[in-house]
Amino acid sequence: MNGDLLQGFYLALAPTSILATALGALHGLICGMMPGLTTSAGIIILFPVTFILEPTTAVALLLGVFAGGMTGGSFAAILINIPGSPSASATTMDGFPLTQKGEAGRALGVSIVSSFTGGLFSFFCLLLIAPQLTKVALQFRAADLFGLVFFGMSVISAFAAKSLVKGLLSTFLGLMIVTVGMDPLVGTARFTFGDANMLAGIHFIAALVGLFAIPEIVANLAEGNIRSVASKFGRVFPSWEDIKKIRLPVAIGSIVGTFVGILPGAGGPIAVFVSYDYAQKISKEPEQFGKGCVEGVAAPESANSSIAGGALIPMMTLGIPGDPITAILIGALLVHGMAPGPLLFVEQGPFAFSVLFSYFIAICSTATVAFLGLRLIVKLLTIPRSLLLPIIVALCVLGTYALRNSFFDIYVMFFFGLVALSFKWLDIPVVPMLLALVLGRQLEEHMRVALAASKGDVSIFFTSPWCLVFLCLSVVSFTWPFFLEWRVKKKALKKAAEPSSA
Amino acid sequence: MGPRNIVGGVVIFGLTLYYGGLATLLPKRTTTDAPGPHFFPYLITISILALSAMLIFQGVRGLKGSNGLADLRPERPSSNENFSIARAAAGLLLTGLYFFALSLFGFFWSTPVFFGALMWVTGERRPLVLLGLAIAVPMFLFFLFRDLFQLPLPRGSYFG
Repeated sequence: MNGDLLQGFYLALAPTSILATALGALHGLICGMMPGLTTSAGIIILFPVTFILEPTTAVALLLGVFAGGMTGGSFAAILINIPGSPSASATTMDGFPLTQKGEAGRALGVSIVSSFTGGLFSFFCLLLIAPQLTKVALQFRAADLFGLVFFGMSVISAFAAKSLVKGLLSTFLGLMIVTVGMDPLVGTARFTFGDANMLAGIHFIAALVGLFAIPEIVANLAEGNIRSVASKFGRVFPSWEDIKKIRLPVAIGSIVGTFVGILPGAGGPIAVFVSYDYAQKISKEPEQFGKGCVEGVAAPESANSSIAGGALIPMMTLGIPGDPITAILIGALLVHGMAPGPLLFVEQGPFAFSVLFSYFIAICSTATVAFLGLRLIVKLLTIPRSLLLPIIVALCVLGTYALRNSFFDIYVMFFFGLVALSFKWLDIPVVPMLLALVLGRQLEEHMRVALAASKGDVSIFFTSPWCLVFLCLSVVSFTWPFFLEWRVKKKALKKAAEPSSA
Repeated sequence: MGPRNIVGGVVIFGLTLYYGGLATLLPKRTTTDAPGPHFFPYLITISILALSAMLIFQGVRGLKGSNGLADLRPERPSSNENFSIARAAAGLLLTGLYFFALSLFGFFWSTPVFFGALMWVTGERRPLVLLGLAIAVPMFLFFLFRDLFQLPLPRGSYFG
């Protein structure tokens, strides 16, 4: 393992990898910053380029976008009061008031330093936890793996939706789509309607591009242009006094963000608001929050960057994506013949560790590129959407077509774009469907292999300790929304009773 | 959300019935003890039928459904002064036509037309900028991906 770790470190330090990470970070900062151009869209845009790169370089490039996107989201939040990504929503609350006070540079500097520190914390967690978790995961048998995948899906169905029914519907519709093509065990053609394109199944990257890019394009088309950006923002690097002030909020944000990042589907916005809330509670001047204080920028920014490292833990060790971005990263790895999971550390140890170290380099590159290029990067906020949108569509086409040189995949992309728009209309989340598309085949395969091993006896899922643990956790995640609702109702009743008793 | 839930629930219910019907045509037995190819689709059919029935029920009764952690998330703020559904619909239609045109005329010929049309829809009215960018940017992408990255680009059945 130590030899793999060292080799992975050297692979990540290769000049091409470092250059790819830095370019990825720059691209990520820009995409994260532009409202409507999320980090997911940034990765999708670069996807075709990764086909011609070595796996290590390709992953380094995408990790650069991931880390850069998380930091870039705050730039627009601070400068124009529109978060570049949903995870940067909390940053607007104190970031923009600082800009209005003429301290935009101070807010941006604090945001970059906090993002860097949060990312660094999550990297060390990733480095410490991932190899240990891999050892445990290697003991899993088919029934345990079924339990694990089922747990991942249950968490995302319960947490990513406003309604549990809609979350589950999204998951099961995703599973329905996964059954199109060859049966994973016996190779029977299912639901192919005699079409040769359907035999290979629906390529999940084509579906993913449609699910995420098309709704973004439509939303941007509806919103139209344009904003003005503060042209002067003074000193950017934070003062020693500011660094002392943000120590505790950054620590809180880093811990909360890493923990939330590990949970599939819990997502960035939750982590940033929880961190902001805690930072306000422990502050000596809580009344300053919302009026432009650096602690209010530091807590959410460190949380939002540490989510990335947290999300990489289940992705690398268990093959379960924590969010849409890690789902796309899994797709990128699969295209290069590398399946994330415990076996990756055994069979491709140096590569697996190079991914971890590339994330570290991505964090460092992001901070460096952000400090050096900030004044130029924020100027791009004025690029009109009329030019950006056709470029995004064209790049989506190029990326999707390059998967299998097939127009079928382009039509699949458009179909899933329409599905995503219908889901939006029905308030059904797309993330559970995405996870089902990524993990559905594994779920079916593990379930059927376990049942074959037990000669059709379903008790195998309840007698295996690991599987039982995962199934119990799934029950907890299904009941959690009901518990939350009960707690909110109880609080509301208590609040309503208070004035009458007074 | 009530009527939408009913419409959505009915559509999904109908689609799932069709899917379940197709699943009954799949082979039931295999040479091993493993459940056959029909097994997983059956489970999916039963689950979706139950869930879509619940969605219809929620819609009919006007129930909100239980709230998950998602409710803690803020709505995406947007600058709504310029908001236009017509522009979004036109853009979506153009995108669909572009995808169809790709199979006929290929990337090289279809993309400049699409660029020009979408830029016009999004508000660009200066003829020189419109024409210049609609030709220059797709050409740049074409040569970048074909010659530098050496990736296959969509070729049409008429031109390519």
